[in-house]
Amino acid sequence: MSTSITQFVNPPAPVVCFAYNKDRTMIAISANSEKVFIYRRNGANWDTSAPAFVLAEHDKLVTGIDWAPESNRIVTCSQDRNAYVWSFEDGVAWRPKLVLLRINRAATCVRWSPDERKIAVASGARTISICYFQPQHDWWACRHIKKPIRSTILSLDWHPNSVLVAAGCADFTVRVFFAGIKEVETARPEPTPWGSKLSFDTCYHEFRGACGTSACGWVHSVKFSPDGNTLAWVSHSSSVHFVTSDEGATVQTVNFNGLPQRSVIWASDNSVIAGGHDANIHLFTRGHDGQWAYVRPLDATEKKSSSAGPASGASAAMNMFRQLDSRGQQETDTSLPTVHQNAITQLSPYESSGSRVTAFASSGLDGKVVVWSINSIESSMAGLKIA
Amino acid sequence: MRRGRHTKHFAEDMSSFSVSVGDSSKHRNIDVDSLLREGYEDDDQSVDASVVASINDRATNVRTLLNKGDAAGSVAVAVDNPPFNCNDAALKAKNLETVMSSLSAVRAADIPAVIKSLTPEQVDNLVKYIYAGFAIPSGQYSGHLLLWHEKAIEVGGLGSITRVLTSRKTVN
Repeated sequence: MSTSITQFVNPPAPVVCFAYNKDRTMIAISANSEKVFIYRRNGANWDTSAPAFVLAEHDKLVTGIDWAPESNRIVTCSQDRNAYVWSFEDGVAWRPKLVLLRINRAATCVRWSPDERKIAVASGARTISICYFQPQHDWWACRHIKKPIRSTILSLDWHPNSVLVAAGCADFTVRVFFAGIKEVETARPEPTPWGSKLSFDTCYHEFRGACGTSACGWVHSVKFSPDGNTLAWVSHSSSVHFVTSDEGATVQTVNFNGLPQRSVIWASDNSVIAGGHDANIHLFTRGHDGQWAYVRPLDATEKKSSSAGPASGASAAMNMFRQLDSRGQQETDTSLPTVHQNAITQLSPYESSGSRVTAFASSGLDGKVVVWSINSIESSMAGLKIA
Repeated sequence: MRRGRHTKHFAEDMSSFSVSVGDSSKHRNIDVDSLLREGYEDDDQSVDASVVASINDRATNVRTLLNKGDAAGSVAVAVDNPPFNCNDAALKAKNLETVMSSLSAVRAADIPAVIKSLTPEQVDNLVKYIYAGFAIPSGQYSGHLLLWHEKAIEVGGLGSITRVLTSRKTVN
């Protein structure tokens, strides 16, 4: 499989967030509006002529989508301070169930726990709502994690054990909380290296990027490693941070030379891929000494040179002089030398074998959703091995 | 669909600080923060003696190096370990003056070599000082600082500018 680029929404609109279903035959997209579009794939090709379903219940921009692979339910959250759990009923339509978030600011990010029994919703109300289903009321209720959060939560991630949550925040801090709920958990959770106290809303750690003397910025994205023992996050100070639970919890910071990253995913136990405002994707790896380092950009698309086209000499020359005459300049190419032509908004694993991601998807403000194959990236770059 | 609408309004009744979205703009005037318990407070920042001492030491060291004619060496001293924890404007201005005297003593041709000798962290600090220098109202250093800016960004990239913009640890 090589890189595949799809422009779903027509006319093109920025993709705020997206989520695939389990077998990757459907994709739910928030295209900078209050609606969620679901597109379906027919064989190899996406049917982009019209969305297969439209989830229209929110009043304001949809900021987060997550698709639970096993139970086939979608959760969406929005700036209208609501979240809905959508399930596909009777094989006909997606029906929403309300989630009682009890927040007074926009919801910013939503994630299913890996066991699909809980939902974590981040918000501008300095609150994480941990939601669970109450069958007697037929709605999703929640419990709040409030302390010691001091600003908007921008990103969330569940630990693989489904009881720990990491939250990246606009106060430059990443926090790890215990988010297990007694009524929901089927077994007593095992203590992890992150902490052993098993009571709801316990804050195990507060990590601030140790950028030496330069402070860090908003935390745009935070992710647990596949084994759950390392956290990676990206912040608006153009830096990527790592902390491992079992080495005295010191934060490693890799300052990046380019524009800030917006999203980060783990490609394997020792490598992460980040993408953001420079429209490219970048690889960071952990060496044998445990030190993280920046490797290289992974999108090395050759810039299409307009002058190298097959245009015949005479017409090319005429074009050049026409440009010079009308605009006082030669033709300037403003396209970026990358697949995405604008900032990347989200990265998600697409295909995995074990803890190793073999393909991942990215979405951008240019409205594209791109699926990248690790194999084809590796073969296009001499000596590159992502493992 | 009907049921969904109904339950949504119910949800708003449930939320403790809800406002009616129906009213066109009334809700925008509500100060929701006043309804919450704690306000956002900055960390306590008071000037302690060690900060004052470090600023004075830096001034002395830079002056000594400049008198020796070692402008290049003075830059590393000047941009190292800035007094981020100082919230006294006069002290910061004095420190900035020290750094500017060092930067302006370097000849244009020597700038790339000086930057090359700095650590990545020092380059980030240097960029912060460059922008602080641009902000000096008289503009007396701006011309020379533009040369510094060009060369520093060649090394530090756009990332070093982002860190100036996002950082709450400022040098001016």
